[in-house]
Amino acid sequence: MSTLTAKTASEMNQGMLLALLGLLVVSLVVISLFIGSNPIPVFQALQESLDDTPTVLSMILTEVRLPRALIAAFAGATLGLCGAVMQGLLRNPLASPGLVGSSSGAAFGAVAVLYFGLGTTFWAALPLGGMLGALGATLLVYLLAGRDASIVTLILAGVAINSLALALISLLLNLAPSPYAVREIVLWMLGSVASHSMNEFWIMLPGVLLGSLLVTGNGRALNALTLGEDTARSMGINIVRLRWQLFLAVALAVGSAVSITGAIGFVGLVIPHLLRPLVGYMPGRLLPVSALGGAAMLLMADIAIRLFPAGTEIKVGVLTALVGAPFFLYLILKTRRAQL
Amino acid sequence: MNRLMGTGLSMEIAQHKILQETDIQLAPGELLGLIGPNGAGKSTLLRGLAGLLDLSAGDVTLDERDLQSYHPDVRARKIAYLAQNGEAHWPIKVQRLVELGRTPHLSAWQRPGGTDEEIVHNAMRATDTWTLRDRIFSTLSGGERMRALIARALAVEPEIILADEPVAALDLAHQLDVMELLLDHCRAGGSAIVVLHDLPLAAHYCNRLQLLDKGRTIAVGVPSEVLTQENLHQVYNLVPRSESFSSDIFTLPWTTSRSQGGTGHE
Repeated sequence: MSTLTAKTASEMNQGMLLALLGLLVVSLVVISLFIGSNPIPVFQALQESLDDTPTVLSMILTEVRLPRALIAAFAGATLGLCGAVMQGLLRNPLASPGLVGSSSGAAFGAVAVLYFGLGTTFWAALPLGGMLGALGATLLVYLLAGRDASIVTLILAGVAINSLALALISLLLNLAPSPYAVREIVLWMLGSVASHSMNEFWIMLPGVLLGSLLVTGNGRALNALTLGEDTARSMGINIVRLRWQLFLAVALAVGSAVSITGAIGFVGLVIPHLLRPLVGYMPGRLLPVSALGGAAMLLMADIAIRLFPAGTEIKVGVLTALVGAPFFLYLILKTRRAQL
Repeated sequence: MNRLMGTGLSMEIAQHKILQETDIQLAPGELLGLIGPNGAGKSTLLRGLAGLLDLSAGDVTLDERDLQSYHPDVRARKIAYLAQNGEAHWPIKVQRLVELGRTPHLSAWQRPGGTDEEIVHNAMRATDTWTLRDRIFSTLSGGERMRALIARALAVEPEIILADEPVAALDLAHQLDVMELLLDHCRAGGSAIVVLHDLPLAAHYCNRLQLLDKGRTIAVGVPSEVLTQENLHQVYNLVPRSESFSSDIFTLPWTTSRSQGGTGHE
């Protein structure tokens, strides 16, 4: 009995949890503004940015550090939210935008746009490519694995589609006209929130907001889904509509986030998993918590790489993968132990 | 007047006839048992009545109105469905699971309020699951799980409960427990259809039985009319062991101590 209750002892009051995570995200955004390759007097820069004439200091703050912090926060929130959505919908703790192909699909879509040079013709071409790629890949995995997919089938379908997306990306790299273009695409793929302007943040924002909007209000349905599809439907949940709505939401949000930042792995897997015990394992309550947690994780990772003393800055996607991959292994081992 | 009525219900999957022109009626206060061998179409019929299946043909009416014409939330408040092998995909607490029964009564943004808590509390008291409220559902025993799932169904405050093999894999005492709970629901003015394999249990608790075989209704009526030698031979290929066969032998020699006014056997 003691072990059973201990498992839920960590459950927290939802309002308190959201307030704490919100505070953490805001503090991390502020900290992120203070850190960079060159120390700048942030308050002075802030004051100067309010003036009409832009100065070097205000430019660094508003055109380098602010977009970096905002993109990290919103991309992280997207990945955290979409991870929680996929895990809740598929009732599977190993589901994530990365696993079910959304991320690599989005990467392929974005690379295709970059390769064919469409990115410069139309401002929304890059996020649109990302969205379409994410939607296509997610649907393929879903159709391959079937509705009540077991963990194994889902992972296999995910592996297949991820490999396909990577192969298509490699093909485009292979056909790329210049080594310079190859380098651009490869660096983009590593996943980074640096070297973006506010412009790119504004390009990313609509898809992210629209996706989040599609998710809101579906917490109740995801909770009911805990009891299986039949029981959820008997309680008035329209599963078909829910599924399409959430797939579309993930494709919109992950597609536009990934098209700007590149594929940043494991945030969508790790964050919902870590935070789930704090909300009593309720998939609906996990949604906002996981979004804030994802934002905090990516902000922290992005701060960490700037503090790391290396000649070349490590890409944030590399860091999350280095931390996330062992965690994924640990999850698989834990699941296997539970099945024994 | 019939609460729930199905007329000419048919279901065909890949040219395989699972259900063929079956009629079914459920009166208020009635506990109806669906019996028949594996693959007879019992679960399909139940799912059809619950509105979970797009039947190939036939009409289902609830209070003399087409079931499809109800808003899903309204339908969900009237009919609770207990799935076969009900499970929870996340390690949630029993009380949370029972609270999910309030889903059809709450809008997307509404959180369970005081009345909901009271209804959940009552459902858990009725099923003896209140003491299990902080336990993780997946760690419960089979009997405890079924009681928790029934509490979830009762928390809907439904008029009708449709239960698919709720006593499968339960020991004898827990089988009686579950049947008593369904009977309590019917005595309180509700009604229920329950899929069963145990014929004596079905005969003992159900007001009426409907015997299905190969998607067709073979017999329907009070237990003694349905569980005849001829029907059992035709459907299950069973022959009586002794000459003195009568459907009276389908009586249970025991009851729960709770229904005898005792304190319950647990």
